[in-house]
Amino acid sequence: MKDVVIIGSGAGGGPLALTLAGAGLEVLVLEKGPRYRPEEYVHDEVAMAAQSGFFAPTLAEDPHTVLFPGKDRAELTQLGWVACCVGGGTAHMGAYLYRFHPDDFRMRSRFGEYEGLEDWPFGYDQLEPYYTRAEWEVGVSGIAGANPFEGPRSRSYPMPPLASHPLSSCLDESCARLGLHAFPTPRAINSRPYQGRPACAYCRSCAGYGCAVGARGSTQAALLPRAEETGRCEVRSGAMVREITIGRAGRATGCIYLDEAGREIEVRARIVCVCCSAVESARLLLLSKSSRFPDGLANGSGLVGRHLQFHGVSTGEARFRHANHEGKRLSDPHPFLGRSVMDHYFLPRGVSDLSKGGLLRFGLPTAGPVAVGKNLARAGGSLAWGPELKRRIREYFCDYRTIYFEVFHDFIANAGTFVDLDPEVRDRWGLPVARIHLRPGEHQKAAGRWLVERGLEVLAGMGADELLPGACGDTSMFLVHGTCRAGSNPETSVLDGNCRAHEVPNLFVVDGSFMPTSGGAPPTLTILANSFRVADHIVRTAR
Amino acid sequence: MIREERHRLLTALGETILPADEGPGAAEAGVAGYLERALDRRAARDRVRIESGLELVDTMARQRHGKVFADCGDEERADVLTELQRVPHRIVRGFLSKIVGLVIEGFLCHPRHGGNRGGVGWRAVGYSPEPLP
Repeated sequence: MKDVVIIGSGAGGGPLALTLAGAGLEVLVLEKGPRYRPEEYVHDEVAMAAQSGFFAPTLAEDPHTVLFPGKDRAELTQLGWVACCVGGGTAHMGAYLYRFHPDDFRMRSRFGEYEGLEDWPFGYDQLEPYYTRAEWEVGVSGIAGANPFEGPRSRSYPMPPLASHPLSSCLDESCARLGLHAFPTPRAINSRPYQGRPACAYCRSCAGYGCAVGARGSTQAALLPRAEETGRCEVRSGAMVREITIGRAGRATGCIYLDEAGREIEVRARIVCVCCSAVESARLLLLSKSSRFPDGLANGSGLVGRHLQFHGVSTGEARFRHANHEGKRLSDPHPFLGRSVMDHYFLPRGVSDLSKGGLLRFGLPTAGPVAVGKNLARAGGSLAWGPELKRRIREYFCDYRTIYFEVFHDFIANAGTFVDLDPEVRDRWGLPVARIHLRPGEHQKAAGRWLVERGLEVLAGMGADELLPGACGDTSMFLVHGTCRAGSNPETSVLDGNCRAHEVPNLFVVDGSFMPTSGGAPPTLTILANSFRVADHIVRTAR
Repeated sequence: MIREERHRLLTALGETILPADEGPGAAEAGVAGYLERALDRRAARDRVRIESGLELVDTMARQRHGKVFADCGDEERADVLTELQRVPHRIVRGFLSKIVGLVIEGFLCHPRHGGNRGGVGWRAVGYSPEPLP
């Protein structure tokens, strides 16, 4: 009998494992995917391509399906699959660890009734100590106070920001002329040795790849080994949890998982924490049917899987020709531009019917040559081939340098976007897969269009030779939230303010699932911080 | 299509999509071999789609120029691909996009995957690889 079983080892499970084992509880972490060794994290774009199955499972083994409005058949997709390995999404994350704005916690109060907007059951001030804790536990590099739009903070970052490309000062100047406040992008990458892990080696490929150096603060590198050192935490990889079991008193008793050989193994625990990311956590609850919970565990309200949110993603880029920018050191191979802008987190009147914007992150492209080639072949609408294609690729590597930006902005919860179980498609274990119903709202497009113009203005101010708008208000592939909404009312939420299921007193869902709204920044730091907060609550009540 | 014919067709297609100019093209980078292995590895349904696309390339070449694609000259090959691009059918568009993508992979992937022989693809486009960690 374990004190706690934690299902999933990413941004949700990692902080729980460290805190709970550190407080003397016996912890078992079950991870469906493998535990990679650092030397397996090669920077090879073909080996790491989405369909290789390295991070997210392949469509043949373990897909999601997606159903768009007006269609009667769902298609197989990797949409919503963050990762399936020890460390979860933090194993390959870009590690842009921003805090949410205080208003992200009170969207309904600030903006009124709009689609699925809701307030969080706690505020920024309650999470602030845990933001700080998360930043120090995983190791975030940045400059406290450099972003004037950030909420109050109790402590600086543990490390100065990473070094940046010479072009970043040119970007700073362009922002200053526009009245914007560029700041060094906070990243969970060591700018100097930290907690026994080395400093960043400044590889050309970073986001999307595992870190062989160990400089990225993934839960695999930064948290789980320390949890294991307590002697009270075991991490079992290759453990596919099929069902959470429930006892007569309506309490969770543990779970059943299948090991790599397909054997069924039952685990018993006093507390069960589900940390599989918003799509898969909802799916596991929906799969765990019993006579007490015929529609899925903790789903008496029918809300498990509802309020699914992704992130709005908008992009753009600019080309700077070497011939026109002598003296700017364009060809310096340094991989990071490392600048973000939060001035447009709220929109001026007239852009959209909801005045919520997002956060702009500027960077140097990390795509390998195959991805570059495929993008250039498709650029401009019709497929390019022959001398034209070769010229485009050669120009990319020889004649100009690209700076791109991506805007993270809110995905507004709505009645048309949710997760349920697919009635037909099954995974390789024979279980129904998660089916995603996707209907992004109009606000996402309107905000995206305006935000892309703002990003392009910054690049134009740097003297760009060509400006290329990209995606406008598209939907992120991952960054998933909201499927087990937290709130104080059991009729309108699945979890209470401590991420405990209203209907099952020893069941917690601790990942992005609890988030009533998606926030306008990537959620990873918020998921980590909330997990530290919930861990403290579990320690307090378990004693 | 017998293997030998397919190899000739893939070589010709590769060289049409990424041709030699002052620098090497797909043929020198061994792209056809990469494509063959990629096809062999693919799930059956996917492979059938690509192979019927390849048949279509030869059919189009015979119709317009009276010979298979591999026997066509540069201009005739370009004409065949341009005509194929005009076919307003999702499956044809999907095939073209897939084959162009595979040729790019075979030209610019790490040589350990069996394409980009000796790194000639990287040199041809001016890409300098970083040492793998």
